[in-house]
Amino acid sequence: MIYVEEDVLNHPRTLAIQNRFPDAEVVSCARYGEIFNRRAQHFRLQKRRPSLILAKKHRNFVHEAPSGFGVAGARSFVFDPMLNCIYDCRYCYLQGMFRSAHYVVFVNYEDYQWAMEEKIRALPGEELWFFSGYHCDSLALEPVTRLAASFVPFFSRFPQVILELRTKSTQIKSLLDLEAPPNVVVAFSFTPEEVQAAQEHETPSVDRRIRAMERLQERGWRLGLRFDPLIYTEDFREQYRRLFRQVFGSLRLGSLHSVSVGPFRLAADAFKAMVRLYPEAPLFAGPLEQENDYVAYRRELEEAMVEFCTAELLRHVPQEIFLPSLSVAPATPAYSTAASGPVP
Amino acid sequence: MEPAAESPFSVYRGEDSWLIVSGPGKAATAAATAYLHLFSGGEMGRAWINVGLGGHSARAVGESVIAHKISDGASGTSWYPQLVVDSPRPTAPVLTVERVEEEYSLPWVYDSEAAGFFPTACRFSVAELVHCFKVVSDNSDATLSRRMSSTFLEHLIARNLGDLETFARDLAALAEELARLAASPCRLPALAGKSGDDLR
Repeated sequence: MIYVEEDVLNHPRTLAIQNRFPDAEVVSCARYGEIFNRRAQHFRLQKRRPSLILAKKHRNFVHEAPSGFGVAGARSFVFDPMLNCIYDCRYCYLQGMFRSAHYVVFVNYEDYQWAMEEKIRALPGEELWFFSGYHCDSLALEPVTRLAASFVPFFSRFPQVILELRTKSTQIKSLLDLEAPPNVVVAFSFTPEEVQAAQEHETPSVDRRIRAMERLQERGWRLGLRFDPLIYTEDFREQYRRLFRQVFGSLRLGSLHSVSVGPFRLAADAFKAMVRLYPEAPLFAGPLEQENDYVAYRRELEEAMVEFCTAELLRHVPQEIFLPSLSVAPATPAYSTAASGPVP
Repeated sequence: MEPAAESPFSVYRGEDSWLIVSGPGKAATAAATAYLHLFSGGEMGRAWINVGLGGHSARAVGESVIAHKISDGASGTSWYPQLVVDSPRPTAPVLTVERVEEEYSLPWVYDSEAAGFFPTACRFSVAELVHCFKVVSDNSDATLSRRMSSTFLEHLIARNLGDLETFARDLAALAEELARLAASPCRLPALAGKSGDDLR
């Protein structure tokens, strides 16, 4: 089933996406909020069979990361022409951020690019980072959305600005078909194999991600490594040590743009929503605690994990490319997507 | 099913299901839905199916569909049932109208209940569990369903019972899953102070 807003029924990107699913029933709607995130919907039930919703974004194309988040010393912006993710990572704040599990694609990429260009031109001389992958995986639906295929050439016009495409996906064909601009970072998230198998449902294995990175590396792409979130297990040291050996055994230092770690941290409301959806998930029975409005691993545990991983990583990479933390925004539940208009 | 009530609506009870006869019209259907919810114990999160007749420009009489969109012809409001189980029948949009239509200008199923039923049932459950199963009783070649005998209309429903039962079973299984989820003890309270001891 593909829901399409009446406004974009004849948009070339809508037609191209529909062409990929010739057997899908197309249902028109006035606004995507008639379907997405309605009150009487259940994320976990819907995750069994999510649909695609093609819509138009009307405003708030780009958000600045709140103070204290993003890259230190730079202005960080988040944009997401897609909502929700095809993967099912138990720790991810997208579980429960929306009541719907459908994938919304805002097909008017050009409007995003206008808004970005405006920001870029308004901030000359500043170090700017744009992050995609906060409300979705940047590449997971690339064959359908062609998101990277559209945004990478756009950013290649602004060499002073960094674009980070954050992903766990191996859908890299459209990147391999493009020249690699030096200001675009393809950043892969990793957890150790054991965590990936247990918590990151439907995602490519660690090994497949590394192979995708190797192919990108061969084509000159700049790569990011995001060990985020750090997930605790009793033998986390051994697991992460093994993961780092795996990753750095395959990637050349010269291909790496940056490496970062990020602790597991969720807004308390988001965490509660996730526990309601997956009360049986062992992850939520871990050594977590709530401090102020956030749920995270107990402080001493979090510090131990960050310290250990940082020290291990610095055995593999120079300090200059190590970014201690790279969260672009606090993970809060977004029961209304007011950014794009009338979601009831 | 055994009769469970006669007034204000006829209600029947089966082993694990209930049936209420609403009669035609949005208001009657909304009232019947709310009545059955309370009459049957007021439990939230159950599967609900509106079974009814409708007209369609092209579909054959006796063919059944499951609604993927319901629009209220009077207000223009639309709802979208969320189908997360296999649909035993094709899906179609349903337009709820106030008067019997004989000219079907849109390729939709025309009925008189869905827009009363769906938003009401969604107050007691989730959109994934609330659906409309419509059997075509008239089309451009065979209009005036109101003149059809009740025996014939019963026959139209009866020949779709297999698909209806399959659909109902699948939804009931989903409702049970939801109930199990709601009843699952949350592990969260047991978390504090657990594990991480190897760091000390």
